Amino acid sequence: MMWNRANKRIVLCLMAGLSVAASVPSLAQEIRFQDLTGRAMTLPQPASRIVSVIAPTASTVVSLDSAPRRLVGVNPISIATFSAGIVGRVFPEALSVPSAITQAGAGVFTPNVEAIARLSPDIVIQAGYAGQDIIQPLTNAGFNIALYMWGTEDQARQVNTMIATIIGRPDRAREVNQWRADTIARITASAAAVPAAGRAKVIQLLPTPNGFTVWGNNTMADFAISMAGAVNAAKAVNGMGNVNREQLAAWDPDVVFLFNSGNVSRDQILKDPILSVTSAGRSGRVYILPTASVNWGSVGEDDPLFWQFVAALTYPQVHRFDLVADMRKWFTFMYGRLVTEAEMGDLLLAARNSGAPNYSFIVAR
Amino acid sequence: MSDVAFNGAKVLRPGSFSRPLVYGLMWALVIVAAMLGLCAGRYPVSPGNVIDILLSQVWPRPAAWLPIEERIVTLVRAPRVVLVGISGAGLAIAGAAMQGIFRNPLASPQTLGVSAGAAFGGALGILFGISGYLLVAGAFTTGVLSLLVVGLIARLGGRSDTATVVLAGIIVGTFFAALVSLTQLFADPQTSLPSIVFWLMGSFATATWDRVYVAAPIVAAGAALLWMMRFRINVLSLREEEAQSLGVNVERDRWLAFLFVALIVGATVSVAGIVAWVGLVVPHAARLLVGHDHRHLLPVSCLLGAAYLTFIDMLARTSTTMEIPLGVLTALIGAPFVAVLLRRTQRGSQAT
Repeated sequence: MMWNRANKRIVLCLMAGLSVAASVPSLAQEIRFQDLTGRAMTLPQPASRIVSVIAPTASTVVSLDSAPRRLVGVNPISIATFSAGIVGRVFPEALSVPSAITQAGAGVFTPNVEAIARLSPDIVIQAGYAGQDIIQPLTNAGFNIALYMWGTEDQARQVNTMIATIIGRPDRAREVNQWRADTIARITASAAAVPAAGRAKVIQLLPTPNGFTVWGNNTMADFAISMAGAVNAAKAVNGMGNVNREQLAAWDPDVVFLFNSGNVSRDQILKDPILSVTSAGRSGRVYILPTASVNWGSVGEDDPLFWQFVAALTYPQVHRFDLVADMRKWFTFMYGRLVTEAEMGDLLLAARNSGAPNYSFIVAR
Repeated sequence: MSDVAFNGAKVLRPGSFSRPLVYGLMWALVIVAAMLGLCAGRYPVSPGNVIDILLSQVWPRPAAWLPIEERIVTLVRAPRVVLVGISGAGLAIAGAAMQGIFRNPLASPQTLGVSAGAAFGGALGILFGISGYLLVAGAFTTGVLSLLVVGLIARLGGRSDTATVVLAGIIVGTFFAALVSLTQLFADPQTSLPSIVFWLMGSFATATWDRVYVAAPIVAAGAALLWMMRFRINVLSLREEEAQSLGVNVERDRWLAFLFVALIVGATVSVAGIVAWVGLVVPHAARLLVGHDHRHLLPVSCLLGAAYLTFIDMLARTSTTMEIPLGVLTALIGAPFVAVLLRRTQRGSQAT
């Protein structure tokens, strides 16, 4: 009898516990948002397990949450970016987030549905611009999917809003988006002092074994260069493209920004027999773009820092920003701790950019 | 020049052109293509300046041009035109030899699987971040290695027949193509993968004098050795029994020719990736001009190949801001050409 009574008590306790547990979701805040393609989504609560099939949004999740704890799966490119930039320094655990979630060789964003399913994600962030082939497998598997688009400033802010909403911290997106708006206003205002005639020709490029990848029209680089009051020398290219050194010589850029990928070095321009005689080659105004939250010059949450970097080095006397102070402030906001002097020097690639005109001036200011 | 008319259509008889005229025309084409290649590019340099710059390399004179113009002409365009010309010549002569040896109009330097072998070496090199001489050496080594494998598969009891060689070439080519895919699988999608893909499509964008010094002697040696075999290739293009009855060591000569073809293809792929269609198309055009006699077919293919590829490469690098991969253009022009040729051949054979 004693045994039966005890059992009844246990069962009652369990039932009471279960009823409380069942009532928790209804008490929790339901999340409603639209993804970048306009699809309305609902989550029962802020996502605590996020898989980012595409690369840029992984660091956005970290920066808006000030921690990588919600990331349970990321693209291999994200791990490389974490490792080279700030995320891996502040959160070493981010380097071991599972990244075998794509189909190797089938395209960088083709999901490996079974690998993702093992991670039990609350939501999967995927590219919305590359057709249904990379979305359908995720839909068929029954995941909640948030689709990502890029290309305009408006979309960049919507991405921040969407991700901040997904993690239940919409206030963070408001602050970051305000920073973007303020920075654009500041650079645009100071660029008014740039004379209309004889604007500097600026180019963002990456040397490859077959030539040079350049960032043409409709890219973040083009946006930054134009905003600074300069002209994108590769404007004739739509998006990204590969050109030869003769084409670069014909464009004759005044300033070159090298995308930080692999072992890119200033000498690839300064010691090249052709490029060394271009304006940028002669003046030495060749700079390697830092990698912080993302590789500057791609798209990500520290775009405002990239814009200031480009503007300040293109027209140092016109755009007199305290870039380092802004980096310190926003990295503290995004990653929850102050970046040390040594880390700041590393992030700004002070050693690899040493000797470049105005560089120490920008870094020191 | 004489035409044979039947069914109301005019059909050229192969080899019906005057040979001195053909050789003169071919040399003129090579010179015109080279000059066009030197004068055309994305950076504007006037033809007068190009000629002055070239002459100043032999007879120094006061420079009336910008230093960058001289560098563009001497360090960008000149090595590229030379490398393209030599590669085109090599691939075309190799194609002509292969079509003769296999007695098959569809044979090409790619038939032996050497291109895929060399491509694997190159792709592997890019994957591991190797560049320069090492990349070229790696591609060349795997190219020649693939020929060895073809030999091991095809030769049985010291003998091989052409059909088995073709099959072995397909097997080895497919195997190495799969290995190339495997390297793409592991390549960094942001850096090495685009490089491998672009390189596999064929490009002379990285031409330098260093690459010319590496590839040109090998291609030239391979082409010269094939030319020295012109009589034997004529015999090899007969039925095997006939060739043997004429006292030719068919097996030895065939594999010697394959080795020379492999040298050419390995060297070309190692500096420019896979440049398809040239070795297939050009010999057909050359055959229309000088007929099937390899004593003339080989040198005319060589000259026509040089001119053709130089012209195609000029289009590839000047048509748009971005370079068009060479393989795309050679296929776009080559495929319709072969289609027309096929139609004419069919019409000709139906008429006779």
